[in-house]
Amino acid sequence: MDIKVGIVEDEYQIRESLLILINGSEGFSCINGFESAEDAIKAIPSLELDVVLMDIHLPGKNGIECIAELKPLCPNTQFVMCTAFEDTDSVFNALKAGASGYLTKTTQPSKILDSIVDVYKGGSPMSSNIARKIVASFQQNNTQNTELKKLSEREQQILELLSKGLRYKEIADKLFLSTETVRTHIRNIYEKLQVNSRTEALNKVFPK
Amino acid sequence: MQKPTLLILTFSIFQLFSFSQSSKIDSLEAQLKNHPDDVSTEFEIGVYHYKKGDYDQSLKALNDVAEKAAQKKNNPLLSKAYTNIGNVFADKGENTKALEFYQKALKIAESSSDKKNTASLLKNIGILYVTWKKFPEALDFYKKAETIALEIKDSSLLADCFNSNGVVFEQQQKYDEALSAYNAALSFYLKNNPDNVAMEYTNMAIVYKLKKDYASSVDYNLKAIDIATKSGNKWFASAVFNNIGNLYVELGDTKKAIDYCTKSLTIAKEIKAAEILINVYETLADAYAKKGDYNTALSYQKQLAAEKDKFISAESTRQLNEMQVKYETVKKDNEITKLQNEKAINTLKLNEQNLLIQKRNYLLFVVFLLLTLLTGGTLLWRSRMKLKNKIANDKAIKDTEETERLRIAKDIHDDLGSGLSKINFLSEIIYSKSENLPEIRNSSESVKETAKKMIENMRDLIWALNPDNNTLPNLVARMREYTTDYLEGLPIEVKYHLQENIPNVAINKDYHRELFMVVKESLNNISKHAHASLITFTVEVEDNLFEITIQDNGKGFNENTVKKGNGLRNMQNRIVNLGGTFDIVSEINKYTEIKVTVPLLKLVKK
Repeated sequence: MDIKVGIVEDEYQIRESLLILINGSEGFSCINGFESAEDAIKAIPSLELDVVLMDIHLPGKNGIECIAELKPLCPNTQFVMCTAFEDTDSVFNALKAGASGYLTKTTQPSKILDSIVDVYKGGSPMSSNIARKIVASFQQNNTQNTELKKLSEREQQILELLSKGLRYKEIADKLFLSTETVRTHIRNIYEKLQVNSRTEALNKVFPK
Repeated sequence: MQKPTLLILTFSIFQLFSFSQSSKIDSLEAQLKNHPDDVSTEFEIGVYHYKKGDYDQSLKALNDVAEKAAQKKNNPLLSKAYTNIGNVFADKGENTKALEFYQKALKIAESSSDKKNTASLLKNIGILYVTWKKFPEALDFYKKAETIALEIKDSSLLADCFNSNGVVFEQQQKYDEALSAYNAALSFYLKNNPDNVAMEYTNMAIVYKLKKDYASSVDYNLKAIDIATKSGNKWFASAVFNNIGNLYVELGDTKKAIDYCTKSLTIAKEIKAAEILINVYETLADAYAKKGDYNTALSYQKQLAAEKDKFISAESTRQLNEMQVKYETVKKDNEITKLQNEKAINTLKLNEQNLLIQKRNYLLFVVFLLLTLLTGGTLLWRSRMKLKNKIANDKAIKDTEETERLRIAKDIHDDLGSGLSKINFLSEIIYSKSENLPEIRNSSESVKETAKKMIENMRDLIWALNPDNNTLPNLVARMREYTTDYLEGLPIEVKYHLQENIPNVAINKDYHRELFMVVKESLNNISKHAHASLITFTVEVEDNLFEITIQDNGKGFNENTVKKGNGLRNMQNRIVNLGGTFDIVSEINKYTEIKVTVPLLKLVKK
């Protein structure tokens, strides 16, 4: 079964070359490219895509808003944020909004395909910057976290190592885990972050 | 990012600038004192205050005139008073109120068939609609004004209408129509109103720039400059020089851009034109940024921020003065009341001697109380404002640098980011399509490489600009992350000896970049030349020295015979300039070791 991919990107050339790249590669089919968040929101829920590559800067609604609207409608689709230079704040906001990963548009094409497969199989990338931001965010919400939204000890351990600059394999070796397990933990951390952000948003609407 | 500057709506500014002498107001006031019922003198006082920008005093006089004119059914004067009240509100930015008074004035002007006034009111209302971006309505009003202007053969009013039309078309991005409107206005101004010719040239230059017809834009700007220099209007000349500079930035001719901006800057400084200074600093920052001289660009950004701050504080001083005037006015009113009270008391005196003393004391007491409260309140208010301003200024200075950094980072990110990604993708396409064209394939590959390098540098820069990242442990984490990623897929193993508990201090961003560059350059050298299989990466903090050591087990080199490459020498120089040490030791077929130490005190951000 091919991995079904969608692309939301307003630059024609980038969109087209991504389409060519993905459609031309074994194991992938690229269903469609959209040039705006508004188009994507209309079409994507009925397409049952596996992975959507989302540009941050779009005319009208931006990529982060687009993910925030789409994720609840298609929980089985993984969203990957595409940025130019991996700027931490945007990536972090995208992750909070429901993205499972991010990649820089300047990565080599082969690596773009790797990232798609990775996300599809349940992995999620996380750099030391992002790990630090997540730790800070959970500390901030500490008081109102229910058990469900708290990070487990293992997850905290992993975040701490990540924030020191260790990569998945190193962490797996250090904690006697498989790389697979580390990846699953990280995906779970992202999910908790999203739950947390939704409560955050709710608390804003219904102040306690 | 760039604005076509401030020259499109210069009418009122010119009027303001040609305005003058304060002796006039004294004689007007003296005249009014002698003939308190002379409404036309009071009207002139109102207009005088308006042109000077004393809006409260102006409104006071004009409202008074309007009231008296209404009583006496003096319709022409009433209409004039309403028009000017409208002008005051328009200048204050209270456009709805301005519209209300223009409409009142218009009603009177129409009913008394005062065509000249009707037309100019219609035009003014049109301008209000432009500020609300209701262009079709605005054009409607201009059209009506134009018809009347034609009818009464008022060519300067007609030209004003054409010019206003042009402004609308320009905002609607109908550039050709804008040009023909400006052209029409120009032909009238050339005949009847030479003062506005330069302004019209500038407007046309702006439209040509928007049309990307840069040659014509330069032409018209030069025409405008010619007139401005001949007429000695320095404000205008400075503004146009800035516009030309701006244009050359767009054209990519940074040298000329800087030349013209410098001219503009000199004049603007001389005549202390803050609004131009702000524009010039911005243009200069853009020019230097385009030139790649980010240092100078940053310094102009800073001056821009400083000038904006000054502008804001000048504005608050103006507001303060306005409050002062208000206070004086109230005080004067109180004095008049006091006098009137005394008069009343005198009349009472004739009737009831006893009651008088009581009442007078009482009244005086009330007046005294009022005055004390007022003075005290104003003093309190002023000192609070002063304090508030000072606090705000101090904070602003601190915030400015941080905001600027974030702003530049964001700009770089948004503008360069999408451009570089595009270059990256396009060169990829060219590369894949040029299999049979070796020359093109080679060039496209080098385009790709260059883009990649730029992207990487940008990433580092953005990373370093983010204040969140500026701590020592975060720098070390990033070095580790980078190293692991860099070596992934290469047959080189890495062992880290990174000290736990690295002091959590914010560090100077210059060090940040330099230290990170050392790691990058070392890894680059090792992977290219060393034939190593193992790297040992050590970070220690001891005796207040921060120390990075990168050792590889590669083929090494003879320190005496091998000349250090440029990369190494540059690194060494930069670290030494920052007050650190940089050592490289090697033994053939054994190892190469790079060691950098920097005193912790120097690293810490001050």
